Amino acid sequence: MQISHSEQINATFEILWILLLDKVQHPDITIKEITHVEVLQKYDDGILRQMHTLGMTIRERITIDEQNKIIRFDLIENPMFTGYFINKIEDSDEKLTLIYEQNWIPITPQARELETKFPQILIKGVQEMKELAEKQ
Amino acid sequence: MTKTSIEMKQLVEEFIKITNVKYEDQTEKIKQKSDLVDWQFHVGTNVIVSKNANREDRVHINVNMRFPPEDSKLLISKNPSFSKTIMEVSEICTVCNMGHQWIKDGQIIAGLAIFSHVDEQNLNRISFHNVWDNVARVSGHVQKILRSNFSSFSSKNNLTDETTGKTMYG
Repeated sequence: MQISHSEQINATFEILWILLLDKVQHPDITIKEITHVEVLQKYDDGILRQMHTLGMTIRERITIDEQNKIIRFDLIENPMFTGYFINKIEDSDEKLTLIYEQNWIPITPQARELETKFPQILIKGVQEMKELAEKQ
Repeated sequence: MTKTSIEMKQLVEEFIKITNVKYEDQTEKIKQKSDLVDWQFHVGTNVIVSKNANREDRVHINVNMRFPPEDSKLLISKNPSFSKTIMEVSEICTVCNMGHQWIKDGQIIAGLAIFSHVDEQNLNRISFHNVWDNVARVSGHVQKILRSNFSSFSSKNNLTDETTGKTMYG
């Protein structure tokens, strides 16, 4: 299922980008369903991260593409889902838009049940990030 | 027995005095601006020790780095080292169990706060000085990260009396 949500953010690109980079290592700050975050490996362009959420252990290869203002989270060896998540900043007429896009395809019946929880978590995640960026 | 806010303040002041580091009780100044802080000490160049009114269970220790304008100019996304620096700072703070927050001033990134806390039940000289040392050590390491990623970064802290209005808890 592909879902996405976007919000206009009243902050500078630098502040929003810093918060998104912080979220790479601390996703639990803006998404309360996430626990036990661990960085397993570092790369020149990102990290390999493990975390727990909704009863699953999730490993993601995270790629930071500053030039295109995109952070991509590819699922690695997940028994329930395959796919990726994207955080993207669009910058037009000096207005920033933050977009979260989740493209996770379920591969088990249990995964299809879990899927129904994703839209609410995703929307809340964007809204929490907006609040944080605008508060700073 | 649970320590009151005043008892914690007295203990903290005693622990600061032992070090002979110059300090200032900024409680009155802070209270004129905000009710969010019970009491606050400015210690040495850039350490703030404070207690939030909404947390009875802990004392915060915060190193408040303010960047001079020439350093802030380097902290922009056009700088190729920008993301790398942010990630490295985040990593060292995570590894050392410290909180951190970049400080915005208008359109620029004007500083960085590194912070931790001592629990009320654990508030003694040893734990207080350990946390203080750790916050200061991580802040020193962060300055090294900034200097190694931005060759012209001076890391001169511009603190003076402004810290009274700049505490992230206030």
